[in-house]
Amino acid sequence: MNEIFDKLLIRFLFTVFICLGLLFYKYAHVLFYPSQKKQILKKIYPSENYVDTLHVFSRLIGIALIFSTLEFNEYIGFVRSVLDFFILGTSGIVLYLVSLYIMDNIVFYNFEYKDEVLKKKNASYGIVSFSQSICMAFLVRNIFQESEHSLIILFILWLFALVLFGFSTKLFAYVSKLSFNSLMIQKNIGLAFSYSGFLFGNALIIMAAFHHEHHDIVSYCIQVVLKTLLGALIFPVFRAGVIQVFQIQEGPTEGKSTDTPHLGYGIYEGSVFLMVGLLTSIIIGQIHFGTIYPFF
Amino acid sequence: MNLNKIIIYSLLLLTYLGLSKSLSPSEFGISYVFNEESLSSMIKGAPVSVILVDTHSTGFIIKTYYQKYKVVYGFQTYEEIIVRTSRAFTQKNKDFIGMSIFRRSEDLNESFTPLPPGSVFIGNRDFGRWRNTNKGKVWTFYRAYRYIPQYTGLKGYNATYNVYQQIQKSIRDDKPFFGFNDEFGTKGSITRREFPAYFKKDRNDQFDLKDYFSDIVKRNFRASRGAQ
Repeated sequence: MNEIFDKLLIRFLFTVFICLGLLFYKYAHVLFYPSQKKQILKKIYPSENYVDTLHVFSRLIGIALIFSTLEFNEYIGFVRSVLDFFILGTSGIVLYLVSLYIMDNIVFYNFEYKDEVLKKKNASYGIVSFSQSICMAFLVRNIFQESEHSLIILFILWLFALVLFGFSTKLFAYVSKLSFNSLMIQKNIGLAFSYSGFLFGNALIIMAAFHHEHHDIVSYCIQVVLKTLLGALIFPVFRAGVIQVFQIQEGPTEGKSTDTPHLGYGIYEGSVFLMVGLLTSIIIGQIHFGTIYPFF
Repeated sequence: MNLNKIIIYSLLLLTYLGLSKSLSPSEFGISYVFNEESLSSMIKGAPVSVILVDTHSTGFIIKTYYQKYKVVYGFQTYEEIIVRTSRAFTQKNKDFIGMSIFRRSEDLNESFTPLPPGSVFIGNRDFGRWRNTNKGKVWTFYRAYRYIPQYTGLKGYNATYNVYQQIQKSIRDDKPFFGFNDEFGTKGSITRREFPAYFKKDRNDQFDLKDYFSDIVKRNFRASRGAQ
């Protein structure tokens, strides 16, 4: 019975530790958005501003996603496993929050959190921010798994993934007919769906590019670059295939203006980006050719 | 389609191919043997005998061919090398597994006629001598070079003077020599004994649908029945 209580106690202790991680985020939020210090430190009323709720809780979901990849192995020693858990957990949260800060500056370089979320309650901003947080969380989680508990490799891969993801977000102008900045100002939900699908598609491709065996970091990074390039080659083929098969007319219907795109168009684009991202990840990550060496 | 998009896509494709070619680990450290001349330039030293010990192809639509050689030197240990080859070169040598497909003598004479392995050492007075037996003159390596028959796969084979003469004739006529009883080459008994790795592999590329489905049934149903 003692053993059962002990295990239960350990589980509770870790639950508290994870809650402390969430508390850490609360204060980190203040660091990233200093002008909104009071807003996050006071009570949150989710029904008051749903865009802010979406913004804050997307980050909490992200932190939960990162924590979900950590393991506690008591059999290697309690203190050692606690320290492992603490160091990896803390580095995970720090990397995630820094990623969000950098990505916010890349994606929303023309927009301010204070204006869009707190003043204008821009739903489009909220949805894109939500998708971006979840994508970054999945990427950091994936890198955690690939780094195999090495903090140096984790840092290198994180930087690498951040560069790839940041660069990929800039390609939206080439693959979509929607103008990000002008439609974001207009709070267009169609844009939010389209851009979210695009972010998820990109994240899936980058995650697939990172998923392979690594013996040394240089050849691993070369393979990641090659797979990402391959993704960029396969992505338009799938997209053209979908458009061709389902005879999708991307232009406006007769008598309609193209200035304000319909929500349906955004949903269509977002869905296609997500689906094509998933299919591309199969091509770049799940086709294995083996090696000639076992034959010899 | 927009011309700009086509240009960007083509550039991406070229970048991918260029980077793959120059950075891919599978492209490192493997030489390409297009024909006999490229094999000759790759192999250094003399006397040397290059024995083809294995061949393999990868790819489904565009095939890549590989050959494995055992390079036996006169005055040092042997080495094994894997090279990428052309289709024509692979096809040309498909019947010569376990045979010497290139040799260079001490006086730097080169020959590409497929011959029994280590032919370059037979009859070379620096490596051995002719011994009179009841089978006639048989080549025997000196004690210092007793490893050569092991390396080449000639162990237990009596290289008689007739064999030596036939080897010289084959070189002159540029005609392969498989041994008087076809002991060498892909179908040879000595090749089968000395280079078993080539024959261990399942080279039957035919896909049997019946086997495939029976394997699925076996894996999914018989195993669970066994568990019950």
